[in-house]
Amino acid sequence: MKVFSQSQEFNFPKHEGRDLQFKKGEFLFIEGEVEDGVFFISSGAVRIIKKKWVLWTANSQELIGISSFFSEGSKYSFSAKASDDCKIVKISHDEFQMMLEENQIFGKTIIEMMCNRIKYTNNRLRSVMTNTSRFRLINEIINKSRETKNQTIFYSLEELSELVGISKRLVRSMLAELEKKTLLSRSKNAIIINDLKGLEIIAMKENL
Amino acid sequence: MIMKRGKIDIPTCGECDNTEGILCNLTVQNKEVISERKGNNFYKKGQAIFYEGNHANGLFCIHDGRVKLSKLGEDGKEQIVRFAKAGDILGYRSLLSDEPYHATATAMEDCSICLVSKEKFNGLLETDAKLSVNVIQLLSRDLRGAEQLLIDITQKSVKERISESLIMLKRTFGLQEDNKTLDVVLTRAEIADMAATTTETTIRTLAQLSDEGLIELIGKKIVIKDFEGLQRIAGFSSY
Repeated sequence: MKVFSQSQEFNFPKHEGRDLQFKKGEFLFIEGEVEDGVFFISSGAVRIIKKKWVLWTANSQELIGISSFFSEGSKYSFSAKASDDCKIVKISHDEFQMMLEENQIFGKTIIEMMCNRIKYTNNRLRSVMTNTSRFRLINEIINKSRETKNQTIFYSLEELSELVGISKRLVRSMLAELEKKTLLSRSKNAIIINDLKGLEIIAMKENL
Repeated sequence: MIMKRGKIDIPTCGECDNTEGILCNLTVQNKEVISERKGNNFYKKGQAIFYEGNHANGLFCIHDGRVKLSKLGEDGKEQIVRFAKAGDILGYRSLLSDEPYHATATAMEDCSICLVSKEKFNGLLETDAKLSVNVIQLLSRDLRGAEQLLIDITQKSVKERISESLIMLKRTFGLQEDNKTLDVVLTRAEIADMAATTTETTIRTLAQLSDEGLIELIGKKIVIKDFEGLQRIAGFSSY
């Protein structure tokens, strides 16, 4: 969910060290580090990872680090890793506190955003509790293909492992099985879908 | 001043004994605002306060008693989402996102619960920045809890999850006067619903923790003998 729409500009005070840039694969912060403010994504996308699993992907115009801002231990409860080249605005702890206390619209927007994130996480929880890991893996591949409108998708084993929440070994073995059935083929970090319908049928059977 | 409505005595929010809930931190003036026309109901142990999927028409604030919030999975199995005690509020996320109640709230013991209208709560949020910050804090706690559960279910063993559930119960309800016994009595099925496992596995795992000297089982009561040991098994981290 976008925090600020195009028409709703929010002016962050300018000062040195606020505007940051991260290359794809770089970490904004690591799980367990001392909380040092929240991060606004000006452009790019950031994966939120806990215990080697992607909890969600934050996109441009979103804020990250809010739940850690309020945590008692004052540490980040997850890692944030750039999944594209990113431009980030860092908002210090005190500044964020001030914005919440002084700007009611800002507070309302954050409430809405937090509600959406909880809903998304609970839906994933339901999916994990009711779907097999094979279904989740195939579903991730199908969804990525639909999203990019391309039969070739670019995922490393590590990325798929983080996104689906299963080990790399299991991802490798499941992909090999699907490759054997000629439903897909692999080349380095690319997965080429040969039979989308076939994948959908397997996913459907898994979910029965 | 005690407001009488039916057979139940209702203290005004300004005179309520609870001090730790987010409504307890309101200004005197705002406490008067929500006290006007607030409802109060008594619920017997086991009675539902609201059901998952019902239209959300108000904010519940526990005056006295304990409540469990649970969701039903697609397989019909109950999953306990969290517990709430005196001073805690219920149903806020549904009001904030204008959606039906996300979980079913059930009285774990006889409860007295106030009901603040949706309009009153939303109106206060518009004007009281401190309330707004406190609500975000609650939502942050809920989000961390949901994310932790997601990780636990996929990456932790049943023994780790049950140990973590016992730690959570100690944090939420505390210990009895002996400073060892959990100050809450849950059935084995309820502990299973917290840890997302079966009752049979929960019984076996609790017996195992007892054999290892970490806990002692006295009927339904659970005595914590080695809290640090439980934390080690649960892979508990401080953030």
